[in-house]
Amino acid sequence: MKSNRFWIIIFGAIILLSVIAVFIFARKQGDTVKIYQNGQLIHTGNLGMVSEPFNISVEFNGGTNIIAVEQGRIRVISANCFDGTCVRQGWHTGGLTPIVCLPNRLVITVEGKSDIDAVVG
Amino acid sequence: MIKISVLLIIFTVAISGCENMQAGEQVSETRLLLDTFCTITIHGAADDIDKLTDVMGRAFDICLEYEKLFSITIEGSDVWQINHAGGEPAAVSSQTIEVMRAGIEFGELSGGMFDITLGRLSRLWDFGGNKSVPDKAEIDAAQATVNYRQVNINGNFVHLENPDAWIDLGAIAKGYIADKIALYLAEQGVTSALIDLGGDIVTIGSRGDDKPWRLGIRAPFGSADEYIGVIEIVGASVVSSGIYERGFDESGVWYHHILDPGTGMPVISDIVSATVVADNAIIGEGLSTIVILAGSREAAALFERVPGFIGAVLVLENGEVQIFGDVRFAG
Repeated sequence: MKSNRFWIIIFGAIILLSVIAVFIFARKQGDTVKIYQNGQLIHTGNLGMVSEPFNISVEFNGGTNIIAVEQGRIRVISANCFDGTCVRQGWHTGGLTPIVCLPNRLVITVEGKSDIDAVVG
Repeated sequence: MIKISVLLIIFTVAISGCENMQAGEQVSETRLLLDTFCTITIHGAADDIDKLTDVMGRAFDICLEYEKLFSITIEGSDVWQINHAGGEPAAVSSQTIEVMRAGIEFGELSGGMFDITLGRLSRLWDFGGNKSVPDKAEIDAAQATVNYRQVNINGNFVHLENPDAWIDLGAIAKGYIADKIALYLAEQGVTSALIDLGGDIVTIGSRGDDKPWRLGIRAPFGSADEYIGVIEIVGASVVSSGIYERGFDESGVWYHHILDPGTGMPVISDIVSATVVADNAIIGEGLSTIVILAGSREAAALFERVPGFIGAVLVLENGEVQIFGDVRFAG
C-alpha cells in the first residue's frame, strides 16, 4: 500500500512537471524574434524573456535603424531610410508580416503560432 | 500497480509529445527579391524533402530571371532596352511581350486608367527612394508621355511611338512571376504550395491537410500584425493593392504610389485597400490596382467584365468593408 502511494506521487509529480514544461514551451514558442540584415541573421532572442525595454541600433551602408524591444513586442522607432515604411509598420507581436526596411536591407520576423498562412496587403 | 504505472507513463508521454509533426512535411524559404519579401512554402512527403528543396531553389531562380527581364532600373533588362531604344523597335523576350499584352488589355479594360507607359512618372516620383513631391512642370512633362495606345508590338519587337515614353511593368510583373512559379511547381508534381511575393499570393491545392489556406488581410495604416479579416482559398490567388503601402507624408498630405495617368498625381480614391481573389495573380494584381483608380462605385461592373475574377474585399476610406463575388471572408 505504501509502495502504491510512492509510485502515485512519483508519476503525479512527472505529470505536473510535464504540464508545466508544455506551458512554458508553448509560451516561449511564439516569442522568437530574428533580425536579418542583407539576408544574414544578426540578432535573435526571446521577446517573452525581455524584462527591461531596450533599443538596438543597426547600421548598413550608412543607413541606420533604431529598433525598440519590449516584452512580447518589437518595432522600428526611427530610420534614416527614404520611405519610413519600417517605422509605420509599428509594433510587431507575432503576426506573419515581417517588419521590412528595404533601403537598409533589414528584416525583422517574430515566429509566432499564427493560425493564418500568409498576409496580403 | 503495473497497469497504473503504464497508464501514467502513456499520459505523460502524450502531454509532452503534443508538438509532434504532422504527416506531411513543409519546406519554406524566404528571400529579399523583387524589392520585397518573398516566401515560398511547399508541402510534401517526408521522403521528397531533398527534391522539394531543389525545386524551391529553382523557383527562386525563376524569380531572379524574370526580375532581370522586367525591371525598369536594371540596365540591359527588356524593359530597359525598350525605354532606351530612342524611338526604334526593341527586340525582347516572349515573356516580356506576354506581360505587356496583359498590361495593354488592362489599359483597354480600364479605359486608360491603368497604363504601362507610366514609366517616366513612376521614376520621377520614385516612391522607393524619394520623399518629396516633384516639380509641377516635371510632373506635367512626364504625364504627357503616358499613352499605352502608342505602344506597337510586332512579333517580339516593341516600338514606342513616343521616344520619350517609358514602360513600367511593376504594377503586374510580380503577379505574372508568381503565376509562373506556381506553374513550375505544379509541373514538378507539387500539389500543395503557397507562393508569396510580397503579398501577391498564389496557392496550389489546399494547405496539405485538406484545409483551405488562410490569408490575413492587413489593416490599412495599421501595424504589421493587424488584420481586418481572413480569406480562405484553395488553389487560387489573392493580391492586394493599397494606398497605404508605399508613399510619404509632405505637409500633412499622404502621397501614395498609385498614380493617376490623367493627372500624374497619386489617385484620389474612396478605396484604401483592394484585395482580389482570382484564378491567377496577374489578374488580381491588375484588378486590385484598377479598382482603386476607378473607385468603389465602378467596382461591381468592373469585376463582372473579367474572366478569372472570383471575389474581392474592398476597404473604403470611411472604414466600410465591401465584399464582392464568391469569397470566403471572415472579418
